[in-house]
Amino acid sequence: MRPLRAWWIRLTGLFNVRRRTEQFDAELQSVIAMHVDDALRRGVAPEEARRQALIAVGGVQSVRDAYRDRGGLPWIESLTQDVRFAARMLRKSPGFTAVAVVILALGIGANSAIFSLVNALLLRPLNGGHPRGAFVGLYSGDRTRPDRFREFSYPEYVDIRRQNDVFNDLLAESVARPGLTEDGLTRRVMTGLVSSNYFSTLGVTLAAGRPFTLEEERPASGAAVAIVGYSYWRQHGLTPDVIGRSIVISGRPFTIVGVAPEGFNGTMPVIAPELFLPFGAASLITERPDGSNRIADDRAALTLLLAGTLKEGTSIEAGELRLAALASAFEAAYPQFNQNQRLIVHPRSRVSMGPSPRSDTGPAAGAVVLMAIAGLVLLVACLNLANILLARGAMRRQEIAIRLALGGGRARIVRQLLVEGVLLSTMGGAAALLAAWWAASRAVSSLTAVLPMPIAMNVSPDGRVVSAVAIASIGSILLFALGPAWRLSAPDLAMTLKESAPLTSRHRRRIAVPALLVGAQVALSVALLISAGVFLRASVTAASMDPGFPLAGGLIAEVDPRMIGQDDVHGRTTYAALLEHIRSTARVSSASVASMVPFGLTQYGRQVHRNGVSTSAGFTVVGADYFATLGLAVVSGREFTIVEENAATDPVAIVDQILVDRLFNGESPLGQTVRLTGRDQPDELVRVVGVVGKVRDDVLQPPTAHVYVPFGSHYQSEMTIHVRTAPGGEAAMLEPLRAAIQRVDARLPILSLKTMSDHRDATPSLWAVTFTARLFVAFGVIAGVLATAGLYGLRAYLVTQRRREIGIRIALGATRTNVISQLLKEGAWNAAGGLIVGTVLAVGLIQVLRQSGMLYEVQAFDPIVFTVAPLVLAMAAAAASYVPARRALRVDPTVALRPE
Amino acid sequence: MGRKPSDVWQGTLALMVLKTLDTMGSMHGYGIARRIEQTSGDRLSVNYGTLYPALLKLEQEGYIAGEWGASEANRKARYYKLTRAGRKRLEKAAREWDDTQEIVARFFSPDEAS
Repeated sequence: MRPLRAWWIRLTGLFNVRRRTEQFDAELQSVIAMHVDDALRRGVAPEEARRQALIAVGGVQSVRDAYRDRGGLPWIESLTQDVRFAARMLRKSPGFTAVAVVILALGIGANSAIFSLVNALLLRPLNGGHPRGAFVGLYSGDRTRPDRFREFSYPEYVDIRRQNDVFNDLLAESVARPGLTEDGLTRRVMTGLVSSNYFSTLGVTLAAGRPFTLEEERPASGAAVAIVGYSYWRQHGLTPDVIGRSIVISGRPFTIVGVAPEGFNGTMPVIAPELFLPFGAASLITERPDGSNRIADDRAALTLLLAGTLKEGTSIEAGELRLAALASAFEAAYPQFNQNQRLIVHPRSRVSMGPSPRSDTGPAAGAVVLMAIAGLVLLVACLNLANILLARGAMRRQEIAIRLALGGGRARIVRQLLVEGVLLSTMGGAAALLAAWWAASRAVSSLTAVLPMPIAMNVSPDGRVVSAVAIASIGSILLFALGPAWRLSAPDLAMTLKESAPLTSRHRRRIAVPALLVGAQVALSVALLISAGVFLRASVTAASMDPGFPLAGGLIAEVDPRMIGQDDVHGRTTYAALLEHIRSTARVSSASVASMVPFGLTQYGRQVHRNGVSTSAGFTVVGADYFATLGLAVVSGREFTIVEENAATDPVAIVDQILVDRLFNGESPLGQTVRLTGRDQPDELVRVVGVVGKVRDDVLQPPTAHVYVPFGSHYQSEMTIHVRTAPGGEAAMLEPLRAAIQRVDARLPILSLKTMSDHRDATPSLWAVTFTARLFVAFGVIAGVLATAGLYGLRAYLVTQRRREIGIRIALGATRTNVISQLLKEGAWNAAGGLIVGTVLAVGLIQVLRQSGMLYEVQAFDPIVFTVAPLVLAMAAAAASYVPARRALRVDPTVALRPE
Repeated sequence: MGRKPSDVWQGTLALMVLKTLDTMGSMHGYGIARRIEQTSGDRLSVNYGTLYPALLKLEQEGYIAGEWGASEANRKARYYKLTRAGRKRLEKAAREWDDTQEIVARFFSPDEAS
């Protein structure tokens, strides 16, 4: 306690230095006076008495210093001095300060931007909830097929919830995207279909209203109640009377009973639900076209995902062990549904949601790679700044030498230089934090533009991001400031005091370190630029990949009559009217409907069987003239007819060539029968009436097999209208198409309306490649610019140092060309090593990046990229060497030779 | 006495100050220095550059308290006196000193050597 008290008083002593000094001076004066009094009493003459008193007291100033040191905290005082001095030095050269801060902001910013994204995706707590215990997923897996997992049925969920002794709470959920109608406009909203204990399990208190009841949870209850997200409440003025208000979901009135708290994203990773509905409401809203997400009191309806909080002291292993008994009881009671099913407890993934337990090792590995690459940029930035500091230090040698000569300790000088570094990196870090926030928000909003749903990625800086920036800043200080500080404070530089510009300096040794630093920068930026080039090629390749049909002239519009409450009969009429109307619209050459659009987000599939051979294929419901409208060639046979579009007929299908190659061994498939099977789907026997060309569903994947069935026999409400017009005329066709749809039924929500090219450009996988390419280009350009600036700085410094040598050579008759080529050659040596090392580095880097799967159909060793990227840097390096060389030549030899 | 007075070493100075104030009650810096020198029979000399930081340290630790007052010659001076914590500290230090002295003395006593 005592030392602490003393320390505190000393700390506060820092702030009243003057008053304390004055008091002590008075005290010291009284001591001197008392000495004098004593001496006078002994009969000493006044003059002599004063002299003796001063001797007795000793050096007044040193007593004062000793007292002051004890009164405050000397090291803090000198640190304050250092900070003041450093701030003054930085203010004195605003250009240098600005450059240094920008370099650091770029380097640290690149890291914190990536980290902000990684943080939002993998680290940040998912929602405002505080679950009681570890939050884990519960999965049902086939004991005999370790890769087979399935969702749970509602009765199964209720049984597990009631009978387990492993979980505190166990919630069940599913996802739907019904239409929400506001002000006459309907849009799809991401909706969580949740059990009654959903919010309590997550430890979330609703912002208003109440959670769902058990009765509302019962699947057949038809409970038209909803809990809205906080953003909905905010849009409606945060008024308390939102509870009880009516809201139109999929054409039906629902009653709002609650509001989710602010910032609550549900359990879904990345995607934020805007609405929560109880299971009882599931039958009222749009279901998936194939009914695969129906929630019913039926053990065959396997649609629920389960998650819960483990009881205290229960480990995942122990929990699974205890659930095994439950699983075998189910197996005995319901062999049809639960045979071989075991219950698996696994932490929930942050990035994917589904019936199988997943770990986030993949995204985590990707995050590590990205962070490593951003780290390289920071490394380049720090090397660069270290170089600048060394060059600047050369100008400050005199100052440092004087301080050393006057007895300044080396540690004190190192500290002084480090304090400058700390100031710089603090400013850089602060700028980086803002830049990162901006960049990460941009990234998220560009992703939002691609996905038709809100993204719940909070990239605003939190404690973790700030700490990451702080670590990057501190790390960069060690990298860029410590080395130069140590070198510059080396006592042998005291030599500098004597001579200002050495004629034949031992510059080879002295510049070895800076030259190496520049080489390293060049190497890293070449590697990054080459990777950027490869990704650019990949994105261009992906964008120019032939989808199998022409994009020009194509338009699509997405509608869903169920969203305004139309049943199947009503919906069929609506589609018939829509197609009739659109086909008769001017400049429409053909129009049709399809359940799946190439490059779309959702894909449905079936197994196609023939003669014991089977293959999986994309399953698309289409209308008449679909292939003509899409622009896909019919190789043999025919399209579906208007009759097949409007009503159930003989079961027929059209297959594509990939399917023919896999199942028909060169036989003609026309007139042959194949069997279609799917989970939760009745088997179908269909007769093949046509064969069409290949279609690519994903820009980064080779074409896959497809089977097409007619709309008439497979009605579903969620369809996309396809329209073909003259190539180039599609953009002008958007409004007429909208008008045509609205003329049929003004209430019908147009969920999307765009040209086929825009649709392709907004593909998430294409976005991923383009985004990564942009990221790498940004990193590469930043690193390249820094490296070039670094090289320029080094060359400029060296040339200035050698002004006298150059002057002598010119005086002795060297031509300007001689001198310039000599200087350029040296510059080339500085860069060449870096270029070679960087190219080798790039080969390794690309091998690692190929693992991401984003470099589809791109050569690892792309000759153009591997030529252009180093060439660009080589040219930049040449310019960086040439400019200082030119400037040196402009100096008059006589001036250069005159001693300073 | 042919011997030159030696400087007081740091740790003991604080103790001497506390003891002096215990004996004399309230005293100013000059008086403390004189008293220590006299008590040591002029074998110690007190340097103000050591004494004043030591006084300040004791004050910061709360063992002594300083206050401005008037001297016998009616001069303004800062008087120091022991606080309660200081008295306790002194008692403890005195006990420790006795112990230490006794132990060290045993090593040097002729009985022990035999």
